[in-house]
Amino acid sequence: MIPTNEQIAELIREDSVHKSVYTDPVLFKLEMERIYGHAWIYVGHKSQVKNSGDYHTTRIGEQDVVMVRGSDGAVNVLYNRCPHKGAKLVADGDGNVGKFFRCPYHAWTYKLDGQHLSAPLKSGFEGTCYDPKHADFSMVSVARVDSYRGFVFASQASYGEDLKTFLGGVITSIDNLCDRSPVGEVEVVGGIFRVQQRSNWKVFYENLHDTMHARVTHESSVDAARGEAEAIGEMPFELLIMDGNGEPYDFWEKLELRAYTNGHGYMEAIFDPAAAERDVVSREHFECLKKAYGEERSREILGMNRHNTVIYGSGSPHTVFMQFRVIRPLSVDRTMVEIQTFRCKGAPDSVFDRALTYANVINSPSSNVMPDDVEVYARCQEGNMTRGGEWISMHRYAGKDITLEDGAISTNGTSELPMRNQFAAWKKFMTATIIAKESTHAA
Amino acid sequence: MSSLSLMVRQIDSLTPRIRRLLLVSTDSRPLPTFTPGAHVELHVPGERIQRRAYSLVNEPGTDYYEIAVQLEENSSGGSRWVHSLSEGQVIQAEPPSNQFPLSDSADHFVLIAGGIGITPMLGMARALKSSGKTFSLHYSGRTPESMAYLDEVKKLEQSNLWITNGNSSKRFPARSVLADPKIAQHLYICGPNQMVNSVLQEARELGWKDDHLHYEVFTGALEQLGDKPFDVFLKESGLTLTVNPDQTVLDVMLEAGLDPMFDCRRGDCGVCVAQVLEGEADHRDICLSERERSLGSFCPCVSRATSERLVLDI
Repeated sequence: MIPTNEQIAELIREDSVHKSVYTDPVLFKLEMERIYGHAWIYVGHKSQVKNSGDYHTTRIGEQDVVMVRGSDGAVNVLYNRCPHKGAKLVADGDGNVGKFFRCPYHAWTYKLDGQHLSAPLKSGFEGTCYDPKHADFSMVSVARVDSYRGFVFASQASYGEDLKTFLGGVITSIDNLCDRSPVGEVEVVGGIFRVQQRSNWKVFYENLHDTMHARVTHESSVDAARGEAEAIGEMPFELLIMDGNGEPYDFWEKLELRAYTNGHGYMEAIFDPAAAERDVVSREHFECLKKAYGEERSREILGMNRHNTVIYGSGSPHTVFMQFRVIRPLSVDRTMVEIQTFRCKGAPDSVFDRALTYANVINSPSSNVMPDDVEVYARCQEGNMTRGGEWISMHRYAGKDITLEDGAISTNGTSELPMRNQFAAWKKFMTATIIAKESTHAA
Repeated sequence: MSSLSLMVRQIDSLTPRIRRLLLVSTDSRPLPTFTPGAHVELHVPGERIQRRAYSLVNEPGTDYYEIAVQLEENSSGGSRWVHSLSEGQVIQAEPPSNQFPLSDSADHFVLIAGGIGITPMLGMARALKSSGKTFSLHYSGRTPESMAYLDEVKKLEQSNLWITNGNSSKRFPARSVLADPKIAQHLYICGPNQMVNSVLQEARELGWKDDHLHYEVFTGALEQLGDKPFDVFLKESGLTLTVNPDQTVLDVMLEAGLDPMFDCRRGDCGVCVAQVLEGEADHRDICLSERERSLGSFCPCVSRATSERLVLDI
């Protein structure tokens, strides 16, 4: 039975949530309709489809879509379905379809914008209602497609706020990532790591700004890094980034957690102008940016010291080390994370090398760090399946955050503000009154 | 079957415009076998690989393929490329196939060759001679200097040469040679379109049955008998292109550097469909309905024109 809006609203309290939001398949299905069916979701980066006919497949919620570069240079996002028998037109992955899609089943063909092109032996349709110009015979485009600085998003709803409004203040993370290139552009380079997690998609979002878990969950990788550093007498970059999780609680308490409407946010350390010259790679990067932007602006760009950013429904860009962990829900207890690594166009190779090292050490399936997290996510999933209690706590600093016009800011870096903010957005999307209002508005 | 790697073992000039190539396997594996009348399709490299068919001249059972290729003025790339090859070079080809096989039920064969059309006919003559079957070979050409394999043909006791040297009365006398069709007698002809057309017409008038008449034009089985060149004006591209009998509208568009949309190249799929604005279309596709054709739809990958000029919207 589909729960009423009142019943859904009751699952979310100011300081806790009911565990069924992680375990109930009915709620998962509703999330796919009400969140993923409306919100702007990151589809991919334009650099993944450089040439006409290049495609990249992915999912918006439970929907298979294909992002394709059209012959006119536009990036289209289409449902991956042939209107003839319904076959998925392209296999999962990346490739190039040439000038048109051709279904592997009966060779019906579609232009790169999805428009019906032809079907073999068309004479056989004579006298029927087959009409190449009728929408029933073309691929269906996702309702709205927009992009910001090369990042392509799509919304399955034809109405609602535009992309920039939806992203709100979190757009500054995309800006900072791009500004780290002297020409202001990034591109996805290399392959994409894929990690399947045995847990609900939301727990990953919550963990991204969960500062209280770092030194507990990651104790083993922190210890390993410190032991190794001691043995070799130095702390190279790959050990330093593992060691970071071992900072004492007072370090985390000083961080700033910023929450925006729609569940977005970021975690930021205090602006650090010295970041520009901390090590060899940073100095090279700084020298390169100085030529493009001048000294002051370059310090500002490199000094913006954001750790994980959350774009709710899409995933988590990491601006300093140029990653995007794209979060794709598969089922109520399965989540696929795709890890993209970006190259800042025009920046020194060492900057990209460092991004790759970060991807390998922190985010890859063979990382020493991420499996710690994946393990506790699965434990949450399993624990919440037991009868040992109904509610999940997010009490830390509840009621103490500073409310702003477009969200809130934490008074302490260990606040569970990000979780509370994400569930506020969840509730907004999941209670249909909002959606009904929006559709009335659109009509 | 996958394509073959072949090495050019030997090249000989047979006439100023015709060169003979002996192609061998690049490894120890034997070459696929074939039957008289078979051809190989060579892969002509380029932005888009094109295949060009050439008849096999040698007898089956040898460890090489022999072809002879005439440099064509209006070459669509194939003969020019073959004439640029040198010994030792490795090329790709499709294994031999035969769309021009000798009939099993015949007890006498009349073989007629015009110009470079000698290649399949000589291959057949060599094989028939070896197997002891009866045949006659008629070889016509303009001048002895332009005729490949002339010496070898002269030595065959079954051969007749018809060399015009500018005198049309010395042309192949179809009416008298074909005057007496017999039940088990089959006719094989390869040569220029015009010659093939007129000989076949003559044969039919003389009572030859259609299933006893076998023909091939130079470029394999792609052409339909009696195709004429025509001009196509492409409105959107602003180009006028000539489509020769051995080419399609799509071929000449690609050669002109245009980038049209196409897929099957067989007239099945409808991807390349254009609109006829002027001229008379000769539809060869199996995709379009009569209604669509009457509204001007046209498949450039196979269809031609019966008018001298065709205007398409593309």
